[in-house]
Amino acid sequence: MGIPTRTSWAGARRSGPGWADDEAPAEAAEAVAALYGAHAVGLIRLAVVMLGDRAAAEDVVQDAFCGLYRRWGQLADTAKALGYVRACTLNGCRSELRQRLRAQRRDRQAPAEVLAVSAEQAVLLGEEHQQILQALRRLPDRQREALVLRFYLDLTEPEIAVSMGISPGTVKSTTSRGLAALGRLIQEAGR
Amino acid sequence: MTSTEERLRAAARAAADTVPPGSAPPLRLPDVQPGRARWDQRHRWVRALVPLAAAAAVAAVVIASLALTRGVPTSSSGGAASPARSAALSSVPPYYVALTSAATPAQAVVRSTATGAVVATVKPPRPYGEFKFVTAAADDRTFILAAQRWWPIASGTRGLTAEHRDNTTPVVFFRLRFDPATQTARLTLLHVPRKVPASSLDGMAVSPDGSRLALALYPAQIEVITIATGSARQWAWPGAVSSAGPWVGNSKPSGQPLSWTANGRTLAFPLTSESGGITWVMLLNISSPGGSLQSAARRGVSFLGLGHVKPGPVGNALITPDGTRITTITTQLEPSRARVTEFSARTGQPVSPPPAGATPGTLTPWSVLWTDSSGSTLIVNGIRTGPSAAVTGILRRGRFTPLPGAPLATDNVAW
Repeated sequence: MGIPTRTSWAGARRSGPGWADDEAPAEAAEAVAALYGAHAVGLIRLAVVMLGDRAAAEDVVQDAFCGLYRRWGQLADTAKALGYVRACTLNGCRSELRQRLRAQRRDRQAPAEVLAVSAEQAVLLGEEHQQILQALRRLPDRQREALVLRFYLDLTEPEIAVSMGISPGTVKSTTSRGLAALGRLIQEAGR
Repeated sequence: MTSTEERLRAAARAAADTVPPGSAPPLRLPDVQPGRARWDQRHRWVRALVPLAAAAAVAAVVIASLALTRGVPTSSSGGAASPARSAALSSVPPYYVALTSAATPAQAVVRSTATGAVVATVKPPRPYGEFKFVTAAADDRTFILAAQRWWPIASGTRGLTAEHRDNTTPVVFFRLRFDPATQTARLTLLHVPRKVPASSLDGMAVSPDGSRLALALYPAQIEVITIATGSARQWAWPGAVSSAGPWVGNSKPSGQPLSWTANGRTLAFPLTSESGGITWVMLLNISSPGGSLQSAARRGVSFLGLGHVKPGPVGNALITPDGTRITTITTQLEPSRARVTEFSARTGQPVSPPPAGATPGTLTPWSVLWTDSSGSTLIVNGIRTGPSAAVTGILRRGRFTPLPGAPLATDNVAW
């Protein structure tokens, strides 16, 4: 929890709060760009798994790196920058899914329609994979994130705890419940 | 490895593989370098003053540090001590306990609310590996901690055995007594006959007088234990199942789901529906016989009927100790805006103006962590839009006073 939520790209275009535009250190831009070069694809992939939409995934990751850039001067330990930007990506995905569900409620769409993968993704993924990812996106935020971090990113339990801002013990119970709920949703979808 | 895990892993990999290596779009950072260059050209002479400025900055830091170490509160904007900040700090408990998950073993630290300074630290006694939850009585020196065995597990699916062992091993409860005079904390193991598997415990709250401990058990069960005798009373929501709910609390990182009134007669808890988010805040009559939670509790606030708001983004809820208000975070849908909202516990309607004042526009709150007797002073956490930093602080009279060093997570801190 201790990580800022998603910031909009429009907001990121303004001066960063840590410094005025004219004072932004060049080393911050270089460091963030280097981190982006090394990890952007991995984080976009993570966001695609969470969202099922490449364009939205790219936006979330862009926002996460802009957030990192704006706070670079405030990071106590720049070695933890990847963890920070990963947590921001998760927050961004969470916000995006909530916005979709809010729109779904407003427009009275079916949840399955809102949480379905994009047309591009649908072409690339088989039907079974689509069904599983759709079920994944119907899980509560916490369970979905724990499952993806554990079984897609293969993070350790303490790493998951830090990324999600919860205790290691809660990671275990969340993962266990998430798997059970996912199994049930997949079973329901298969009927 | 179970079939569900295999299928999830395969589906996630397939989705990830739709993003080929090297296909990330260019990074679009704010365009600051030209500005920096212009600044350098215009103000080249300023470089000569850099050593002087550095010395002045060091002096300013030293002065600020002295002000903090002497306990002189500074305003949120970094200026001199303000009466509003002093008043805010004097209206909340002076100490709190936070659990640290980064340390091994995880610790419980007692901190000063005003300064954030660590005044005492305790580790879970062996063989327990971490504290899972913490809750505070009203005397500001008694805390109850839940501890669990904890085995490190390998990443991915390789640690399922340890995970299962962790989840099924019962938690134990400790009383932490903090002595402000000596700045020491002492743990005492509580005798609780009931065996609660670690993964079943979703939250807990000690009664204000410290005599009873309420547990939120997965999926929708509440148990109140009399600490002196170990006797327990249980209520369960009929038909609740782990996979479909309803659940006590919610499934997101959130503040503690349970809260007591000062007289110890009512316990408030959020009830989450399958669709996610809190649907109701329920009020349990503790004097009722155990059995059906549905029969023993009444609806305090129903979010189904409010239409224009929804609970969240995190969604815990606290009843004020005087029993008149239920305070939580709601999100107005159009335009989207999160704020602290206080409801009448009698009518279930929002109280306007809220006793703690309007949520400042610069704060996007996540959780309410503590409330005074009537809800006029709250401790909340969230995001400040200015520096875009997560923050925990006091909301009082519409003013937000950040607390230095306060933890940003929400389910492991208690005032």
